[in-house]
Amino acid sequence: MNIVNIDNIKNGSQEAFRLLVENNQDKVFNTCFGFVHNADDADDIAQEVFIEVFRSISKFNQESSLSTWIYRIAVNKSLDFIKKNNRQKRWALLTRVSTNTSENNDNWYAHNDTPLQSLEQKERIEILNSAIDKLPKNQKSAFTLHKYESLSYKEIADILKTTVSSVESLIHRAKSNLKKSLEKYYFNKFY
Amino acid sequence: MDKNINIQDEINKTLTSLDNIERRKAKPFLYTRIQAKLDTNYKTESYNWFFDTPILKPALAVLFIAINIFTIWQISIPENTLLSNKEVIINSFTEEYAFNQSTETIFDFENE
Repeated sequence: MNIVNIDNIKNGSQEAFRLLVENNQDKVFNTCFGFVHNADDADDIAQEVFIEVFRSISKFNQESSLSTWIYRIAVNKSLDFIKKNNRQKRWALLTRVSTNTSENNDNWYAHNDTPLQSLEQKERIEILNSAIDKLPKNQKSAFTLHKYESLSYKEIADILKTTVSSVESLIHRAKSNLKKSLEKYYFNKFY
Repeated sequence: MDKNINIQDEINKTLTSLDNIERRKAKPFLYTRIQAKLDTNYKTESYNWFFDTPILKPALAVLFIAINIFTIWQISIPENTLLSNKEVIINSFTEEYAFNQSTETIFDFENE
């Protein structure tokens, strides 16, 4: 991986910016996908993230690492997208405009051997994702970064500008809420 | 009892379902698409910047007021002209058909 020179990007070097995009595109895309669970939406948000990076790079004072800063933008852009999307859905419901709400759920890969296991895994991920969507945004951010990006509590704390103990608490509460949500779901399914 | 065990088992399996997924990779040519968006946005920005020029705003305001005054003035002229034309037509019509003559004169004329 080539090292990105921030000063070169600040000076308007397209080559340096291209390197920055290529070095970070997968993690930005994967993070956004963790929030929106849709490849097309994640792609749109990833573009917005890098445009924001390009515009705000002059304000980047290197207090945190470049990677942390990019992650922070990705989280904020994803949460903004979800907020905007929910508002649009509510408005569409209000005006009785029929919208295609079916999500593109083929955008994940599972390490399973048989198609049956793969299908079961797909269903489980869908159930878990809809439970994650109901979490408060702080818990959702911490849980998504931990699960999708496998980041450490320290890294998550830096991204969310909080302490490690807060992140531990957020993830603990997220898991507890998810359990309750899943209990409710499976109880309704089995009884 | 069995159902409870089943539910707990399902919950645990679902909670760990994300542990096995592969990391997603960005779609190809992401940089090209970003570059295209940046170019488009910069074009729009330069257009906005033109209208953000400090001197341009008062100049446009003065121009707007001047156009309004001129339009009002233009509208008022034809109305005056029309009024005066109307009067001229009525006068000529009255003179032509002798409407302005008093009834006495007419009777005098008949009595002659």
